[in-house]
Amino acid sequence: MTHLSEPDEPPQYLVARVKDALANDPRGGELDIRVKIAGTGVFLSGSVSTPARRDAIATVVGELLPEFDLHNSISVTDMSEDPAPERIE
Amino acid sequence: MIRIAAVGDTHFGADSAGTLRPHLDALDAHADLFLLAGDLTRVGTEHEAAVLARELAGVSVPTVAVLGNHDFHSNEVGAVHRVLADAGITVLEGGTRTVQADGTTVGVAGVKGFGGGFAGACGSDFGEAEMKSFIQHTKCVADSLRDALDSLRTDVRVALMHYAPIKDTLSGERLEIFPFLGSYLLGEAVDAVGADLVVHGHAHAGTESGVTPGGIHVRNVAQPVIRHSYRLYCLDGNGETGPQCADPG
Ligand SMILES: [Fe+2]
Ligand SMILES: [Fe+2]
Repeated sequence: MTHLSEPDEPPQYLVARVKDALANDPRGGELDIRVKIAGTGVFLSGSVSTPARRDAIATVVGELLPEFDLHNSISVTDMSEDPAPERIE
Repeated sequence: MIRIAAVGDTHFGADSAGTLRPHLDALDAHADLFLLAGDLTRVGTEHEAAVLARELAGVSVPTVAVLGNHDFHSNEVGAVHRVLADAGITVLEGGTRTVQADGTTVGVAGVKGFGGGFAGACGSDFGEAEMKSFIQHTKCVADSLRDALDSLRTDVRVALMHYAPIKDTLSGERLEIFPFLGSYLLGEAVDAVGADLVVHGHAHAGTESGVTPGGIHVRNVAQPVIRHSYRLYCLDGNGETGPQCADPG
């Protein structure tokens, strides 16, 4: 397993590498997750369509940045209701 | 009254089976046409397309799709296209599909679209070959969209694409990535020949409703934006009696 972070690496480069991994890791394919590194934490937000997708993203990020506290605020889109129609005029 | 169901960015994978199915009976009952606005799969594999095709197997209304950038990622776009087509889904790239409902004809012109940005802050067909090919791809797609829309002789005309044709529906996205989310060339193509509705996806953090500079309704139906299995839009056609824009809930 490769850890991404080097000592004192600026957080913006780390964020870019995490975003790249989330796009290209076979468990990822996710381009729309917001990643923020602040203090000792990595904060994830955005929405995905399944709980498995949410967990897979956390796994990928956890492997890459094991020394950071992972805060996973990614939501799973709730599609339980049928949609209300809109009349376009 | 023509009733159009639409969703984009379903990003279907092996774990997605069963997520749409509970809503498809209502869709069949309340829509005349189902539009899929690209990024149908997670990373564009034949297997993911097959999961979606099986999910949609019970839909009886005509279903028309365009592909999105995710559907190209695994270089299996030919297989993705074939799996969807075999399931009865019309996949458009510069083509059209016409359907009839309630005495009204509806034509859909569809393209994937591409990026480049918006008037005043966009890439130019200039400089390195890579930059030229980026913008030339968008120009080519926009031209085929305009020609396809212009060829429709239907009562209602809908432009279906994955990338955004205007900035309005990107509201909520970071300004820095607008050039990767869409192009004004797509909106310009629609305004040049006219349409009744433009449907797109791709901008997951964007906004549902917008309007082109020429005054045409635009809807961003990316699933993270609409937060439903699909959205239902009702447009007046020529029919006088048909079903109303009923709330399926
Ligand atoms: Fe998407
Ligand atoms: Fe996309």
